[in-house]
Amino acid sequence: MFAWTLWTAVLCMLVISVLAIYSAKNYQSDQARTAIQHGVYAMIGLGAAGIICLLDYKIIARWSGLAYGVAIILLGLVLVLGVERFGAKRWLNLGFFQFQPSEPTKLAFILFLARFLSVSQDRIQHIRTLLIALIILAVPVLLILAEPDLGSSLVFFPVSLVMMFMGGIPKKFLIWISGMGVGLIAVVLAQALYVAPEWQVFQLEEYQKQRLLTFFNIDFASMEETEEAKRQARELQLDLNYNVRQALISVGSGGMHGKGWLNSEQVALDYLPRSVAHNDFIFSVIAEEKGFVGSVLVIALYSTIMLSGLYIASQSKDLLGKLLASGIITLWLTQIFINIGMNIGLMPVTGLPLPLLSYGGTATISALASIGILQNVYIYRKHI
Amino acid sequence: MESLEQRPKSDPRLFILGGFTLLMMSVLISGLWQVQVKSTTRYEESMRRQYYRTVRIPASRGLIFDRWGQPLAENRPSYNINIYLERLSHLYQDEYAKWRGYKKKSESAPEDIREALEEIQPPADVPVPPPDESPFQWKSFSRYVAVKRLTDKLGERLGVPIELDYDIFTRHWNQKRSLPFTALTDISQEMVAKFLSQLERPPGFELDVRTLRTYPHKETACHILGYLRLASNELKEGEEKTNYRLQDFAGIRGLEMTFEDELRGRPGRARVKVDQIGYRVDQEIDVEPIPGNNLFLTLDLGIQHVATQALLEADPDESVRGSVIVLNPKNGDILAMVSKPGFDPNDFVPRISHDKYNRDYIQPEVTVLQSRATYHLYQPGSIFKIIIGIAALSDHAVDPYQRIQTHGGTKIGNHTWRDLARPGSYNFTEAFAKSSNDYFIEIGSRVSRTKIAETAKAFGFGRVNNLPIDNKKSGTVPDDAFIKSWEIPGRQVWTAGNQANLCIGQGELSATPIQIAEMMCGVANEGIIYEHRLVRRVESSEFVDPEDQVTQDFPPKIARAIDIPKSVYKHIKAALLKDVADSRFGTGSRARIEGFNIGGKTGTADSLASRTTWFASMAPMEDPQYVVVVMIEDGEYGGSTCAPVARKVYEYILQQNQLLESSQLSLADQSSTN
Repeated sequence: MFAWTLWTAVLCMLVISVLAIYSAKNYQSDQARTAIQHGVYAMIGLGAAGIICLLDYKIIARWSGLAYGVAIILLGLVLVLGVERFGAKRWLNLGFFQFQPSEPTKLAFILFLARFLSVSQDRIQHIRTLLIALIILAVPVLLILAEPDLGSSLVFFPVSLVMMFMGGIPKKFLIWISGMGVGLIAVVLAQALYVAPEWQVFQLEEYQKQRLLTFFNIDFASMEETEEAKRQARELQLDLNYNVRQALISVGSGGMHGKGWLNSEQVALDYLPRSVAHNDFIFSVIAEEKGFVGSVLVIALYSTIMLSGLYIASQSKDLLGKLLASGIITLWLTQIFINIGMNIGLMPVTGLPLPLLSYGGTATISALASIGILQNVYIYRKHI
Repeated sequence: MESLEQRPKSDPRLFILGGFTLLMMSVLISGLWQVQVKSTTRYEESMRRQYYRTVRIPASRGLIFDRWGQPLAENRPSYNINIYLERLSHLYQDEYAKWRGYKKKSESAPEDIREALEEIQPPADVPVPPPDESPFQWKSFSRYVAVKRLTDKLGERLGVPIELDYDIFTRHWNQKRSLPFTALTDISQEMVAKFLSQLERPPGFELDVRTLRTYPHKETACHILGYLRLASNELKEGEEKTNYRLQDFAGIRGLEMTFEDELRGRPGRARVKVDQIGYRVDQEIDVEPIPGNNLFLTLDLGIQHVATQALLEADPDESVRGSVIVLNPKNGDILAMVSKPGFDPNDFVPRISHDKYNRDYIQPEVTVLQSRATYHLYQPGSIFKIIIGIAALSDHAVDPYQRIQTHGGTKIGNHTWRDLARPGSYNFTEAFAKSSNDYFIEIGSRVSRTKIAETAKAFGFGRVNNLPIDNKKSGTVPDDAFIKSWEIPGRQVWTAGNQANLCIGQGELSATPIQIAEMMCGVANEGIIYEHRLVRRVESSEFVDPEDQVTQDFPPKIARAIDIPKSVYKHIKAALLKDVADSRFGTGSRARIEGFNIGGKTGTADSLASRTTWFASMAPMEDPQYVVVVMIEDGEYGGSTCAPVARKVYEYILQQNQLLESSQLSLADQSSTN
């Protein structure tokens, strides 16, 4: 009935996250408030997970079309009414809460795609099924890309690829579209980074381009620029590189055993910027304070959650449950890999939160809701 | 539907997904292993580099003492009012908020801008930047205004205006905001009291103490001690580079310069921990500075004082230009070396204003920085008759007992050399005491120019002495090399007129007073000349093992021994004695002290531009312990202007020796009675 391993790992993670956020906010007046707030979000998330378990996922899935539709409307709304922060419109201001529609969209999308693939089993080999699935994917991706939020929109690709794979879309189609996808991304990257602006067909936002250039360690300024322009470009590059460099120093200086809770020097001296230490870069705070041992513990807990999810998928009697579980696990895997990878310089900087650990109401509630769906699949695995 | 739900439990696709999940996690773990375990030292190093700024802390400078341990140069506490910028960051923010409002208003309602400005009340005479300045400029302006408000208020309370230059302040903030900004330098004791007695001190303002060089006797011995200037930023040997340097000084003249390496000590280093903005978080001393070594001089402060005083008294206008040198011929110790006019080396600490430097050091026609004892060249005049006498006697060119008739003048060619000595028939001693030009031109013409030049050089003319100070000159002696360089090529002729000039110490001859003193030492010591000694030893200023206390020792050292028969000195000394002792004959009789045998020679040399008066002496004649040389520019005569100065010096020395003797006697009494 109850997925004990999964919930134990999730609860451990929540405790760690409250402690880590408290530490990341060290020396700031809103330290306790932020940590408690995060705890409250976790409670709400746990409540949401409980509510999700009240109804069989097969019944919930029937309403997935509605969920998907609402999510799309919200994504549209955010483009019109959204609050602009750091040059992007990603949030809806609800007065008491900054709501980020792209987070629940991920779940609505997984529900809707799972439902679609499971009901289309008799024509799964047909190319029309694939095309419809691609349209289901494209609408939220384009809307999120328009915010702009490249990181969040990219998450949809591996999730849908895995779900199509699990759902029985012919392998040749999958190879074909993933080849196209990889090719497309390569072309977009290459032409955005190397082709002169006037010849570019797809244009990345300037800040996205700079993040990528920073990640690939390419000079911003081209060779023919003046010395002054080159110097300015280098400074800008260093500046953009700043968060990653400081995160790396945090993680690296943690060493094997870390400096101990509340002892992050990078936080104490403000080197890890206040605006990101408790959300996108929460992992580097944990890594600095708890060292390699702590980092591995976090990854072990994540692995436990994901492998439990896979176990639930394997226990599911129907395709819908399997698709839901594997979609959710892929979502987690992608976000975890990109976020931790960013903290240790393996991945370029994107605004993706670390599920359960990063501060953020919408993301935490969505993450726990997705755990609720896994639990739901586990509870109703035998009822058909 | 039914059939689809009967899928086997072990779906291979789930295994693929599980395998892929574990693979990605292991990629992360190996990445973390790389960063956290393998490269951790590298990241710790970059962390240290971004957290710490090193600051060079100057060591406290070594002291300089006279021979009795009285301080000539020491260190005093100096108080600065410093602003610790990190403690004012909230004020910068408040100020910036105000100006941001002003800027907004200037865009939305430019007509109300004057009111907006009145509301903010910027300090007077601070130009407000145009509203379209960049936020960066506005922030930097706000910081300046925030600090300016505080310094203005503090200045009002202390009763001194505190100048705060925008560029200097901004540069400090941009480049070294982890170090405090100095608002007031070297404030007076009253101001220290005023500052401390304030009930409410402005935030971030602290009273910091450091040490500064001070010369308690001001002008006394200024040319020997030299002075300091702010040190340049170049690294000394074996010094590690630091991010910042605290103000440090370096000697640029005198002993302060020549013994710079000893006096400076080894600077220490502080590590300042800074936050991301660059503000100071805390600070620790990494390397303690090692104070510089102390110098112990041969100088006798008492004699130096008296010699200075006597020299000043020689000119009623107190604008005397001259020099007094007191030496011990037995070991070369310089007991006093005065040059007037002098300067106060305290002027240069902590810094001298451009105006003051111009007014007191550049503009006066009379140079004050150069030592008249060692650097200025003078014609020795009649004092050179000592060398002429030695040269003629040792060459057997004259019988000292034979009388020679003088005529009140010697005519060579068209020119007559006047003789102030009354015409008569004089032997060597009498002629010397009367300083007869006729006599000395006569006997000097009997020896060659080369012989005279060689004798002069043996006694120290024409060579730079080895005193450890920078301000030195060699002077000229008409030796062969000089003659070669002198006239039109092919006409290098030394005339009888030249020879006559040389015999009375004029013409192609110049020397510094210290060279005259060296000559007197040679006579006093009968040919044994010690090297001049100014520094006896260098000692570590920290208490260490007694054996290691002295780091450098300078024992007396014989410079050279002159090969001239003793009988020559006997005649010279007798003549010197007669010049002072014989009130009828002697030109130097005004130096006489009853019961103390002083021997000396006066000199008065005239050139077109100026007159140089001399008195060179030694005492007691039985076994000379002191050489006193007095030189005064534009005096009346050597005998009238300079001899009394020497007498005052001898009187003091006698008095001190008597005091010393009686105290030793009483000590001896005590020890015998005990």
